[in-house]
Amino acid sequence: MGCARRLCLWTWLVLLALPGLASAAVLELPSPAGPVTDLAGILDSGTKERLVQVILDVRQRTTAEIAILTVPTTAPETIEDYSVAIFDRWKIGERGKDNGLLFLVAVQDRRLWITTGYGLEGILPDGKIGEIRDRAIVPYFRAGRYAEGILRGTEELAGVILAQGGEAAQGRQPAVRPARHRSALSNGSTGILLGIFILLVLFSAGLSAMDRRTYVRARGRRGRGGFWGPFWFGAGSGGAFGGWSGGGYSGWSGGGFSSGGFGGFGGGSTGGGGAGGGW
Amino acid sequence: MKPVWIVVGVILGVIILAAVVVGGTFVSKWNQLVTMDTDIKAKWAQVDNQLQRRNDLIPNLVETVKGFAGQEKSIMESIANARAKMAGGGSVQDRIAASNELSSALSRLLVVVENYPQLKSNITFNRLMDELAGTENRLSVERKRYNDSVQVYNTTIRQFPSNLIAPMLGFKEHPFFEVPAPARQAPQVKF
Repeated sequence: MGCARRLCLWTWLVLLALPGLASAAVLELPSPAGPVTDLAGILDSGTKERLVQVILDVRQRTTAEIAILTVPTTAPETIEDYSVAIFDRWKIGERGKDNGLLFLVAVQDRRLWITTGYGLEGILPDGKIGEIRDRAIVPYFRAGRYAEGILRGTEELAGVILAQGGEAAQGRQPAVRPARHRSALSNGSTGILLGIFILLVLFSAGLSAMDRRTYVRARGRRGRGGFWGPFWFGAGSGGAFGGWSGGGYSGWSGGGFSSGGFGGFGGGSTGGGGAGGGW
Repeated sequence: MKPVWIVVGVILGVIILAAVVVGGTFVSKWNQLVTMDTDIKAKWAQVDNQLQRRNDLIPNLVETVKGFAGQEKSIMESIANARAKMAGGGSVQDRIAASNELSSALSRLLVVVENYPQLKSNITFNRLMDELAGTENRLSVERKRYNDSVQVYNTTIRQFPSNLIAPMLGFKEHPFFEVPAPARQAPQVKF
């Protein structure tokens, strides 16, 4: 069948394009192993347990989500860009409230960065995070006591969220959140569907108006599908559908995922707020 | 029915069909361009928020620095000038240019600050530097999102059939927010 062959061709084109797509994604980002992902191996199990407790407590009482990630290095990215990339991928915080926080430590780079979602910027301004960093995190890090620094810092951040975030996190829409547009595709496909519908009506009207027997005699016994099928396909792909090659425009991929018991984060986003630095 | 009528019917059908397909494409492209254009404007508004936020931080920063490094008049002046240009508004291109000027003035200030250890240990200054670094980071995030949208849009309006439709409806290319190489890095806060 012609269509089947076309399908085959498409499959091949997609398969051929895949390596290109894969190499286009330069940054290899880790997946979360839970609220605490210790890829640098600097957390003992006791500290990790305590951290998870603190994080779950905050999540239960305010819906705010804290994620902790330690990596050896963020190279070739800066820690700021890496943080935002992780935040965008993991979607920390509840969707709509954007009350997520990412505490990232790059041990070999000797840099840390704490990124807030849009919804936490108000109660955790950059200066406040910087103050917590200087008081509760950096002194420990300088002494090489990473686990202690991360725990103290997380407890301080959690304390601020619990103290002020209770009501702030209860569904107040952050003012500066950018508008998301989901309608690009749906508008277009509505137009296309409408066009196809009109075409179908026109065609069936045209066909029934014709003398059926003349039609059959003139065309032989190929049937409607055989005659109109290729034309349909050509009209569709050449006209309306051809324009959608620039896809991937209307962002908003579904948030959340599951990885072995950990339900994933809630679909929050960040505008790059927060503070960090070296030690 | 005579065969000639069938031929005429088929030709008419094809013409109507073509008109419907072209019309449908036109409408869907138009809607697509409107959506993209609105999206870019919303993203630019986010960029502008951060430019404004940075502008609001500067008077405090300048006051604090003056207390410790009063002799650095030329840098202070260039910051004040660039800030005034930013506050003056203007087109997107004007604001991008003014923003880049301000960024370069700020980065010169950050180099000079290294010579004033007292300033570097000042708490107010450090909080302001955190706010500034955070704002620069927000700015770079929003700038990237803006540029990503602009890229898709600018590509789309150059592609067929949008390249025929876009000029008719007054859709023009949007400018990229390009940053000169030295200013590309957010100011590094050292301890």
